[in-house]
Amino acid sequence: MEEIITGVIIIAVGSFLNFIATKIYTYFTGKEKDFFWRNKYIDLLKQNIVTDLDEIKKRIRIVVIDDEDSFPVKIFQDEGYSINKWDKVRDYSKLENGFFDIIVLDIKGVAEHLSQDDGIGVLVDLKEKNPAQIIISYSQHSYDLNKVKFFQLADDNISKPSDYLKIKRTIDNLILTKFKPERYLNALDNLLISNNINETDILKIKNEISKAVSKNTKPDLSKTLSSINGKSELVKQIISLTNTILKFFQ
Amino acid sequence: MNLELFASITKYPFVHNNEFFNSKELVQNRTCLDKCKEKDCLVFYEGKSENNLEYICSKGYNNILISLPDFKCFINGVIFENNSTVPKGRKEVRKDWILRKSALYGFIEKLIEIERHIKTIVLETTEKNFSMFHDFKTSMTIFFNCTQDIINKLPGNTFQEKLENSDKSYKDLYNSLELITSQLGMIDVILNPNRIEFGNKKRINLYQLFEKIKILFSHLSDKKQGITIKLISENWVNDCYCYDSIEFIPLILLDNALKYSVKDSEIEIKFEQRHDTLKVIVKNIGPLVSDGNEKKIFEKFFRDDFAQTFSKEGIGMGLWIAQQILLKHESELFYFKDRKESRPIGLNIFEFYIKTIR
Repeated sequence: MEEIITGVIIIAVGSFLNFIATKIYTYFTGKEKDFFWRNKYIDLLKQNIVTDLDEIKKRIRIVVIDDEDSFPVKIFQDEGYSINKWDKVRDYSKLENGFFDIIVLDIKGVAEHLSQDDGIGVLVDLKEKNPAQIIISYSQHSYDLNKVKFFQLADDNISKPSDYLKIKRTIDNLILTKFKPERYLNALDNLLISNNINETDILKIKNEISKAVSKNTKPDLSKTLSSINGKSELVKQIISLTNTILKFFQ
Repeated sequence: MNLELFASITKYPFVHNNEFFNSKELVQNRTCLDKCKEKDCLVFYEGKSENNLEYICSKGYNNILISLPDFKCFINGVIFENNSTVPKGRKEVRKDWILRKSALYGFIEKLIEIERHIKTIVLETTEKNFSMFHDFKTSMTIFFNCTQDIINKLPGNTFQEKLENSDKSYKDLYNSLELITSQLGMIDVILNPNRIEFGNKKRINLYQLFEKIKILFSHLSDKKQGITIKLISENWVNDCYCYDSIEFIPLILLDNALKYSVKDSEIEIKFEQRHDTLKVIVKNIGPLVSDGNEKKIFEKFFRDDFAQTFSKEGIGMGLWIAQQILLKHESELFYFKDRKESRPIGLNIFEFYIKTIR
């Protein structure tokens, strides 16, 4: 009997020590391990994601910002795309925080209230804040030599006017080639590294995202982000990229 | 400012791109042209761009540099009032042309003023053209919206399906939209060649692109007295990574071939896929490009004489655009004709090679 009790105590103490060791390891490395020292959370890049265009187009959010009614919004909606139309930039925070996966942006008459450079100013600012944000320039001015910068900074360009099938080809091509988790995970990595976030915190953020994906919940980044609370702009960017990444898996 | 304009307004002979030019009023100094072996003025001004830079050459003459944004030359072989280096004999020959330095400075200031006015006029004209083009695009937008609304109301699940199941007249209407989209894009390229590289390169199948443009042109080819268009490919044509602007290549080459084909002839478009390279050949029977002009047809606004007689359409921009687009895709467009052909009408061949994705 005594031997059994000793055995149970040894197992219990051993398990407890193993538990403490995994916690200490996680604390210092950011890599979460389970009881058997296997990686606790999933590798997002190895996860199956939806690749069917019909399914993706329902999930992604597109906003067309154009002061004219030239974009065939209704046809896109009829075909199952989740697409909104703004006459001008209404809610800048939605553009900044990655609420929309694709922004179709006109160059003139859409953001005079926000930037002296109108659409160009918005494009430059959004790309600076989140280089992974997919932006399509949509303009009548693709002949204009002074606007070259605008067109080169965008992920793709649609001249105004263009026929529906041509616009659809451009958008579908961007969805299939650029709307991928790697793009946003890389962007998150680059953002964190360029802001000198240490490796442990980077892993913690990624673990939180993995945890949220595996449990189909919202990630709790509050603890990890509390250490970089001084940089509110950076926190916003991290949350924006995280939200986009989650769309692929949830 | 350009050479022709400068030559028409200068009183003094000058040197441009190492070539000696007379003015309307005064020919080049013979000393400068024949007797001076050193031509040290050319060496002195090489690579220099400082306006009014003066130089007294080995023969004692005054030279002065004129450097405008788009034009550079120097007035050579002149004699200033205070020049004490030119021998008396030479001074005597040009005694009526001895000038005050300030007069030449005044002339240079006038040139700068003219240059500024030209720039303003060009800018105003361009802006007016842009504005007219902008208005035209706005009107076209209405046409696009109406056409697409009409097709979208037809029965079918998707727009593509609605279009495919529709009457020929609806298809023709939509084809015209696609053609207008492309043609407007081509005008953009003429005004802004940077447009060629807008967007990212994407997978594009050139065979399918030519096929699509062939359909768009079916109306035109029907009207052109029995001209037929045939696409030939012995094997599968791989995709290429191209900018959107590549769509202008079939548009231009087919438009060109249609414009310059004799009636009841055939336009043949052949695709030859070898390893990772695709060769595209466009053949038609029509007026041959004159000897010596085979490369000039790719220049802006150039139209061969016989081509102008054969067809009044065209401004000589299409092949220039096509060449610019292909150059941006590490490719080049070539023209060939049957050299033994003695008649003015014969086989014209345009071809280019482009890398494909394996």
